[in-house]
Amino acid sequence: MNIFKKPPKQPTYHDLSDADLVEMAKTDQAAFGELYERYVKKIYNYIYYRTSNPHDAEDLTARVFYRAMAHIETYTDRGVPFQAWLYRIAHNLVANWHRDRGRRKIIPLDEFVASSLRSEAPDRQTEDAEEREHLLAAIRRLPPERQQLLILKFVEQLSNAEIGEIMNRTEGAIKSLYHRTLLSLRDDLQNQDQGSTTSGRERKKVDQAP
Amino acid sequence: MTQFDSQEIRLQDWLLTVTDAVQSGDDDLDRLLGLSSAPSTGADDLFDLIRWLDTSLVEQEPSARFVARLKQDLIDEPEGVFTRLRRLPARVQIAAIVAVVAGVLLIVPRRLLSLGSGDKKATDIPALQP
Repeated sequence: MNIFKKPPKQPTYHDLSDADLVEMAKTDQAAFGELYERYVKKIYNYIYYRTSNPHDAEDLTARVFYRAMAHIETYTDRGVPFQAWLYRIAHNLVANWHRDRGRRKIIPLDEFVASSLRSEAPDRQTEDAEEREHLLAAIRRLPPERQQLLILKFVEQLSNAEIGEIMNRTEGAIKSLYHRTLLSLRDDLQNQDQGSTTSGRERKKVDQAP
Repeated sequence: MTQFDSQEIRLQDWLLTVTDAVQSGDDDLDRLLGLSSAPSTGADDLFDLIRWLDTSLVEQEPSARFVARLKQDLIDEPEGVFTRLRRLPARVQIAAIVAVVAGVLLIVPRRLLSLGSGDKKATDIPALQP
Protein backbone atom coordinates (compact mmCIF):
# COMPACT_ATOMS: atom_id res chain seq x y z
CA MET A 1 0.00 0.00 0.00
CA ASN A 2 1.42 3.33 -1.00
CA ILE A 3 0.86 5.67 1.92
CA PHE A 4 2.27 8.60 -0.05
CA LYS A 5 -0.34 8.31 -2.71
CA LYS A 6 -2.63 11.31 -2.57
CA PRO A 7 -6.28 10.50 -2.04
CA PRO A 8 -8.47 11.42 -5.01
CA LYS A 9 -9.65 15.00 -4.85
CA GLN A 10 -13.21 15.21 -3.62
CA PRO A 11 -15.38 17.29 -5.97
CA THR A 12 -16.68 20.46 -4.40
CA TYR A 13 -20.26 21.60 -4.82
CA HIS A 14 -19.00 24.13 -7.33
CA ASP A 15 -17.79 21.36 -9.66
CA LEU A 16 -21.03 19.41 -9.64
CA SER A 17 -23.76 19.58 -12.26
CA ASP A 18 -27.23 20.84 -11.43
CA ALA A 19 -28.61 17.30 -11.68
CA ASP A 20 -26.08 15.99 -9.13
CA LEU A 21 -26.70 18.90 -6.79
CA VAL A 22 -30.46 18.40 -6.98
CA GLU A 23 -30.07 14.76 -5.91
CA MET A 24 -27.79 15.80 -3.04
CA ALA A 25 -30.06 18.69 -2.06
CA LYS A 26 -32.81 16.23 -1.19
CA THR A 27 -30.84 15.39 1.97
CA ASP A 28 -28.13 18.08 2.07
CA GLN A 29 -29.00 21.72 2.62
CA ALA A 30 -25.54 22.91 1.57
CA ALA A 31 -26.14 21.44 -1.90
CA PHE A 32 -29.32 23.46 -2.13
CA GLY A 33 -27.26 26.48 -1.08
CA GLU A 34 -25.04 26.01 -4.13
CA LEU A 35 -28.08 25.80 -6.41
CA TYR A 36 -29.37 28.96 -4.77
CA GLU A 37 -26.09 30.78 -5.45
CA ARG A 38 -26.24 29.72 -9.11
CA TYR A 39 -29.76 30.92 -9.78
CA VAL A 40 -30.77 33.60 -7.29
CA LYS A 41 -29.61 36.45 -9.52
CA LYS A 42 -31.27 35.06 -12.64
CA ILE A 43 -34.58 34.46 -10.90
CA TYR A 44 -34.44 37.90 -9.27
CA ASN A 45 -33.84 39.54 -12.65
CA TYR A 46 -36.66 37.63 -14.30
CA ILE A 47 -39.09 38.64 -11.56
CA TYR A 48 -37.77 42.21 -11.42
CA TYR A 49 -38.62 42.84 -15.07
CA ARG A 50 -42.00 41.13 -14.75
CA THR A 51 -43.05 43.01 -11.60
CA SER A 52 -41.23 46.30 -12.24
CA ASN A 53 -40.05 46.92 -8.71
CA PRO A 54 -37.26 45.58 -6.50
CA HIS A 55 -39.33 45.03 -3.37
CA ASP A 56 -41.81 42.66 -4.99
CA ALA A 57 -38.91 41.05 -6.86
CA GLU A 58 -37.20 40.25 -3.55
CA ASP A 59 -40.39 38.96 -2.00
CA LEU A 60 -41.25 36.71 -4.94
CA THR A 61 -37.65 35.52 -5.34
CA ALA A 62 -37.70 34.36 -1.73
CA ARG A 63 -40.98 32.55 -2.35
CA VAL A 64 -39.57 30.82 -5.43
CA PHE A 65 -36.69 29.37 -3.44
CA TYR A 66 -38.82 28.42 -0.45
CA ARG A 67 -41.17 26.61 -2.79
CA ALA A 68 -38.29 24.92 -4.62
CA MET A 69 -36.79 23.79 -1.34
CA ALA A 70 -40.10 22.46 -0.08
CA HIS A 71 -40.67 20.43 -3.24
CA ILE A 72 -37.15 19.40 -4.18
CA GLU A 73 -37.65 15.94 -2.66
CA THR A 74 -40.35 15.22 -5.23
CA TYR A 75 -38.57 16.88 -8.18
CA THR A 76 -37.42 14.55 -10.94
CA ASP A 77 -35.85 15.69 -14.18
CA ARG A 78 -38.41 14.48 -16.72
CA GLY A 79 -37.11 16.60 -19.54
CA VAL A 80 -37.38 19.73 -17.39
CA PRO A 81 -33.94 20.75 -16.08
CA PHE A 82 -33.70 22.35 -12.65
CA GLN A 83 -33.19 25.80 -14.17
CA ALA A 84 -36.40 25.46 -16.22
CA TRP A 85 -38.25 24.17 -13.16
CA LEU A 86 -37.21 27.23 -11.14
CA TYR A 87 -38.30 29.61 -13.92
CA ARG A 88 -41.64 27.86 -14.13
CA ILE A 89 -42.16 28.34 -10.39
CA ALA A 90 -41.23 32.01 -10.83
CA HIS A 91 -43.53 32.36 -13.82
CA ASN A 92 -46.48 30.91 -11.87
CA LEU A 93 -45.83 33.12 -8.85
CA VAL A 94 -45.57 36.21 -11.05
CA ALA A 95 -48.81 35.27 -12.82
CA ASN A 96 -50.55 34.93 -9.45
CA TRP A 97 -49.03 38.22 -8.35
CA HIS A 98 -50.46 40.02 -11.38
CA ARG A 99 -53.80 38.31 -10.96
CA ASP A 100 -54.04 39.17 -7.25
CA ARG A 101 -53.01 42.76 -7.69
CA GLY A 102 -54.72 43.41 -11.00
CA ARG A 103 -52.24 46.08 -11.81
CA ARG A 104 -48.88 46.61 -13.42
CA LYS A 105 -46.68 49.19 -11.84
CA ILE A 106 -44.21 51.37 -13.67
CA ILE A 107 -40.52 50.66 -13.16
CA PRO A 108 -39.15 53.34 -10.84
CA LEU A 109 -36.83 55.22 -13.14
CA ASP A 110 -34.59 56.59 -10.44
CA GLU A 111 -33.60 53.10 -9.32
CA PHE A 112 -33.50 51.63 -12.79
CA VAL A 113 -31.29 54.17 -14.44
CA ALA A 114 -29.26 55.81 -11.70
CA SER A 115 -26.70 53.06 -11.31
CA SER A 116 -25.74 52.88 -14.97
CA LEU A 117 -25.81 56.54 -15.90
CA ARG A 118 -24.17 58.35 -13.02
CA SER A 119 -21.14 59.35 -15.02
CA GLU A 120 -23.10 60.93 -17.86
CA ALA A 121 -24.46 64.42 -18.22
CA PRO A 122 -27.83 65.12 -16.57
CA ASP A 123 -29.57 65.91 -19.88
CA ARG A 124 -28.33 62.69 -21.40
CA GLN A 125 -29.46 60.76 -18.32
CA THR A 126 -32.98 62.14 -18.58
CA GLU A 127 -33.13 61.42 -22.28
CA ASP A 128 -31.90 57.85 -21.90
CA ALA A 129 -34.27 57.29 -19.01
CA GLU A 130 -37.18 58.47 -21.15
CA GLU A 131 -36.12 56.16 -23.95
CA ARG A 132 -35.85 53.19 -21.65
CA GLU A 133 -39.17 53.88 -20.04
CA HIS A 134 -40.74 54.22 -23.49
CA LEU A 135 -39.44 50.80 -24.49
CA LEU A 136 -40.21 49.12 -21.16
CA ALA A 137 -43.76 50.46 -21.28
CA ALA A 138 -44.16 48.94 -24.75
CA ILE A 139 -42.77 45.62 -23.48
CA ARG A 140 -45.25 45.66 -20.61
CA ARG A 141 -48.07 45.99 -23.13
CA LEU A 142 -47.05 42.67 -24.70
CA PRO A 143 -48.72 39.40 -23.65
CA PRO A 144 -46.95 37.76 -20.67
CA GLU A 145 -45.32 34.99 -22.72
CA ARG A 146 -43.72 37.55 -25.05
CA GLN A 147 -42.44 39.55 -22.09
CA GLN A 148 -41.00 36.33 -20.69
CA LEU A 149 -39.27 35.57 -23.96
CA LEU A 150 -37.62 39.00 -24.19
CA ILE A 151 -36.40 38.86 -20.59
CA LEU A 152 -34.93 35.39 -21.04
CA LYS A 153 -33.36 36.40 -24.35
CA PHE A 154 -31.86 39.77 -23.41
CA VAL A 155 -31.47 39.84 -19.63
CA GLU A 156 -30.58 36.20 -19.08
CA GLN A 157 -29.08 35.78 -22.57
CA LEU A 158 -30.34 32.21 -22.83
CA SER A 159 -30.30 30.20 -26.04
CA ASN A 160 -33.53 29.35 -27.86
CA ALA A 161 -33.18 25.75 -26.70
CA GLU A 162 -32.95 26.81 -23.05
CA ILE A 163 -35.86 29.21 -23.46
CA GLY A 164 -37.83 26.39 -25.07
CA GLU A 165 -37.24 24.17 -22.03
CA ILE A 166 -38.45 26.90 -19.71
CA MET A 167 -41.48 27.85 -21.77
CA ASN A 168 -42.31 24.25 -22.71
CA ARG A 169 -42.04 24.89 -26.45
CA THR A 170 -39.85 23.66 -29.25
CA GLU A 171 -36.83 25.63 -30.40
CA GLY A 172 -38.63 26.34 -33.69
CA ALA A 173 -41.65 27.68 -31.83
CA ILE A 174 -39.42 30.03 -29.83
CA LYS A 175 -37.80 31.27 -33.04
CA SER A 176 -41.19 32.00 -34.51
CA LEU A 177 -42.46 33.62 -31.30
CA TYR A 178 -39.37 35.84 -31.13
CA HIS A 179 -39.94 36.98 -34.70
CA ARG A 180 -43.61 37.82 -34.01
CA THR A 181 -42.70 39.53 -30.74
CA LEU A 182 -40.20 41.84 -32.41
CA LEU A 183 -42.60 42.73 -35.20
CA SER A 184 -45.45 43.52 -32.82
CA LEU A 185 -43.14 45.51 -30.55
CA ARG A 186 -41.85 47.50 -33.52
CA ASP A 187 -45.40 48.20 -34.72
CA ASP A 188 -46.51 49.26 -31.25
CA LEU A 189 -43.54 51.62 -30.89
CA GLN A 190 -44.16 53.10 -34.33
CA ASN A 191 -47.80 53.70 -33.43
CA GLN A 192 -46.73 55.40 -30.22
CA ASP A 193 -44.11 57.46 -32.06
CA GLN A 194 -46.60 58.71 -34.62
CA GLY A 195 -48.12 60.94 -31.93
CA SER A 196 -44.81 62.37 -30.86
CA THR A 197 -42.30 62.91 -33.65
CA THR A 198 -39.74 64.27 -31.25
CA SER A 199 -39.57 61.21 -29.02
CA GLY A 200 -36.34 60.33 -27.31
CA ARG A 201 -35.59 57.64 -29.84
CA GLU A 202 -35.93 60.01 -32.76
CA ARG A 203 -33.66 62.44 -30.99
CA LYS A 204 -31.12 59.72 -30.41
CA LYS A 205 -31.06 58.86 -34.09
CA VAL A 206 -30.43 62.52 -34.92
CA ASP A 207 -27.68 62.71 -32.31
CA GLN A 208 -25.98 59.64 -33.71
CA ALA A 209 -26.12 60.79 -37.33
CA PRO A 210 -22.70 61.76 -38.76
CA MET B 1 -43.67 25.56 -48.51
CA THR B 2 -44.92 28.84 -49.95
CA GLN B 3 -42.71 31.75 -50.86
CA PHE B 4 -44.19 33.66 -47.91
CA ASP B 5 -43.23 30.86 -45.49
CA SER B 6 -39.68 30.71 -46.80
CA GLN B 7 -39.33 34.50 -46.52
CA GLU B 8 -40.60 34.33 -42.96
CA ILE B 9 -38.12 31.60 -42.02
CA ARG B 10 -35.28 33.61 -43.56
CA LEU B 11 -36.36 36.64 -41.54
CA GLN B 12 -36.48 34.55 -38.36
CA ASP B 13 -32.94 33.34 -39.04
CA TRP B 14 -31.73 36.85 -39.74
CA LEU B 15 -33.25 38.19 -36.53
CA LEU B 16 -31.47 35.53 -34.51
CA THR B 17 -28.17 36.23 -36.27
CA VAL B 18 -28.53 39.96 -35.57
CA THR B 19 -29.47 39.32 -31.94
CA ASP B 20 -26.45 37.07 -31.39
CA ALA B 21 -24.20 39.63 -33.11
CA VAL B 22 -25.49 42.56 -31.06
CA GLN B 23 -25.23 40.60 -27.82
CA SER B 24 -21.62 39.78 -28.61
CA GLY B 25 -20.84 43.44 -29.31
CA ASP B 26 -20.86 43.28 -33.10
CA ASP B 27 -23.18 45.99 -34.42
CA ASP B 28 -21.89 46.28 -37.97
CA LEU B 29 -25.19 47.01 -39.67
CA ASP B 30 -23.72 47.01 -43.18
CA ARG B 31 -22.38 43.49 -42.77
CA LEU B 32 -25.64 42.24 -41.25
CA LEU B 33 -27.69 43.87 -44.00
CA GLY B 34 -25.47 42.18 -46.56
CA LEU B 35 -26.47 38.70 -45.35
CA SER B 36 -28.61 36.78 -47.81
CA SER B 37 -31.32 36.30 -45.18
CA ALA B 38 -31.64 40.06 -44.55
CA PRO B 39 -35.11 41.43 -45.36
CA SER B 40 -35.36 43.85 -48.25
CA THR B 41 -37.36 46.40 -46.25
CA GLY B 42 -37.51 47.37 -42.59
CA ALA B 43 -34.22 45.71 -41.66
CA ASP B 44 -32.71 48.84 -40.12
CA ASP B 45 -35.78 49.36 -37.89
CA LEU B 46 -35.53 45.83 -36.59
CA PHE B 47 -31.79 46.20 -36.11
CA ASP B 48 -32.37 49.40 -34.10
CA LEU B 49 -34.99 47.66 -32.01
CA ILE B 50 -32.72 44.72 -31.18
CA ARG B 51 -29.91 47.08 -30.23
CA TRP B 52 -32.30 49.11 -28.12
CA LEU B 53 -33.54 45.98 -26.32
CA ASP B 54 -29.95 44.92 -25.72
CA THR B 55 -29.04 48.20 -24.04
CA SER B 56 -32.30 48.58 -22.10
CA LEU B 57 -32.90 45.08 -20.75
CA VAL B 58 -29.78 44.99 -18.63
CA GLU B 59 -29.08 42.72 -15.72
CA GLN B 60 -30.10 44.08 -12.33
CA GLU B 61 -28.08 43.30 -9.23
CA PRO B 62 -30.10 42.17 -6.22
CA SER B 63 -28.86 43.70 -2.97
CA ALA B 64 -26.09 41.66 -1.37
CA ARG B 65 -27.90 41.92 1.96
CA PHE B 66 -31.04 40.37 0.51
CA VAL B 67 -29.11 37.53 -1.15
CA ALA B 68 -27.17 36.72 2.03
CA ARG B 69 -30.19 36.96 4.32
CA LEU B 70 -32.33 34.73 2.12
CA LYS B 71 -29.61 32.10 1.94
CA GLN B 72 -29.30 32.15 5.70
CA ASP B 73 -33.06 31.82 6.07
CA LEU B 74 -33.11 28.95 3.58
CA ILE B 75 -30.29 26.76 4.76
CA ASP B 76 -28.85 27.94 8.06
CA GLU B 77 -31.84 27.95 10.33
CA PRO B 78 -32.70 24.85 12.36
CA GLU B 79 -35.28 22.57 10.81
CA GLY B 80 -38.01 22.97 13.39
CA VAL B 81 -41.70 22.31 13.02
CA PHE B 82 -42.47 26.00 12.68
CA THR B 83 -39.82 26.41 9.98
CA ARG B 84 -41.35 23.62 7.94
CA LEU B 85 -44.84 24.97 8.59
CA ARG B 86 -43.81 28.41 7.38
CA ARG B 87 -42.79 27.03 3.97
CA LEU B 88 -46.16 25.44 3.34
CA PRO B 89 -48.85 27.20 1.30
CA ALA B 90 -51.11 29.52 3.33
CA ARG B 91 -54.17 27.27 3.17
CA VAL B 92 -52.16 24.28 4.40
CA GLN B 93 -50.79 26.40 7.27
CA ILE B 94 -54.34 27.40 8.25
CA ALA B 95 -55.51 23.78 8.05
CA ALA B 96 -52.58 22.68 10.23
CA ILE B 97 -53.33 25.35 12.83
CA VAL B 98 -57.05 24.45 12.87
CA ALA B 99 -56.16 20.76 13.28
CA VAL B 100 -53.85 21.50 16.21
CA VAL B 101 -56.41 23.75 17.94
CA ALA B 102 -59.19 21.19 17.39
CA GLY B 103 -56.95 18.45 18.79
CA VAL B 104 -56.18 20.50 21.90
CA LEU B 105 -59.89 21.28 22.38
CA LEU B 106 -60.70 17.58 22.18
CA ILE B 107 -57.93 16.34 24.43
CA VAL B 108 -57.86 18.96 27.22
CA PRO B 109 -61.50 18.58 28.42
CA ARG B 110 -61.10 14.77 28.53
CA ARG B 111 -57.93 15.09 30.54
CA LEU B 112 -59.61 17.52 32.92
CA LEU B 113 -62.56 15.16 33.35
CA SER B 114 -60.30 12.17 33.90
CA LEU B 115 -58.27 14.06 36.53
CA GLY B 116 -61.29 14.08 38.85
CA SER B 117 -61.58 10.27 38.95
CA GLY B 118 -57.88 9.63 38.28
CA ASP B 119 -56.79 9.20 41.94
CA LYS B 120 -59.32 6.43 42.64
CA LYS B 121 -58.43 4.47 39.51
CA ALA B 122 -54.73 4.71 40.27
CA THR B 123 -55.16 2.85 43.55
CA ASP B 124 -56.98 0.02 41.76
CA ILE B 125 -53.91 -0.85 39.71
CA PRO B 126 -51.65 -3.35 41.50
CA ALA B 127 -48.02 -2.40 41.87
CA LEU B 128 -45.65 -4.12 39.49
CA GLN B 129 -43.26 -6.57 41.10
CA PRO B 130 -39.60 -6.25 40.17
